Amino acid sequence: MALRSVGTATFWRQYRALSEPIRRLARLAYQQLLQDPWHPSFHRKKPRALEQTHPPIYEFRITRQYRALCQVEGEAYCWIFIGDHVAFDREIRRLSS
Amino acid sequence: MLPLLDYSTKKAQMLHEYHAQLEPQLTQGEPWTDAHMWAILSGEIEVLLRDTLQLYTDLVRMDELHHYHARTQPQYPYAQVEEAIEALLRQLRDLLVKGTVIAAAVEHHGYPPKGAADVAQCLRALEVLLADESPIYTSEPFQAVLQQSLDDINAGRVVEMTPEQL
Repeated sequence: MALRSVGTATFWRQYRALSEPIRRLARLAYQQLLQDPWHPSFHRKKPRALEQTHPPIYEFRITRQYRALCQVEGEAYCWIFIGDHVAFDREIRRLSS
Repeated sequence: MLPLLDYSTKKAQMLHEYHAQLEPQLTQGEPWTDAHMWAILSGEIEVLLRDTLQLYTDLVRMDELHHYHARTQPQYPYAQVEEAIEALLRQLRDLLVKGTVIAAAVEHHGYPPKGAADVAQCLRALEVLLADESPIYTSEPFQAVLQQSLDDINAGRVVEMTPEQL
């Protein structure tokens, strides 16, 4: 069965906010995912902090700094987050200071 | 292999050597007796910090290039380069910690070097990149963003991922 992907409205907003070079890397990563969903460069893993959700959420690496989250159920992939973890962390710290 | 990998490895080595030369001067009490010498030392440390921050920028760029090659070259030695980048990032973390200490030492004598605040921010960024699990996931702002996305699913606000969409 072929892999089927959808993205939430929130995901697409986040995707469109990325710079073009990072969007390009995301596109290349997605093309690779279609060919080999277990390629080691994805560092595919279930974040412990999100493990109570069902279907399970997996993290996929675009780069070390930019990562995407996806709910995976069989061959159905639902993309729910993509973003810059360093910038997000900086924003969290700014809000809490 | 990436040329930037060789360059960054040499750069990290050079920065370690730079620290090795500067640290004894700062730890042996008060080696510099006049203000002029402290100003010179502070200037040297500014150069050291600037180069360390530049290494961070280079490593982030190299990581992007590394992932680009992983997606476009079937024979690319991903695991080998990944290991080298990880090692460099850890070396950089050591350099940033040393940079923080050395900057605090000259600041203590009244010569705060430029770039000290950037070093602290860079160190935090590196902690995020090297963490086993991203620290953002447990934060309230992230949980709120995630909930928005889960609400999208429940409300049917999802769009097929096609080449046109990407």
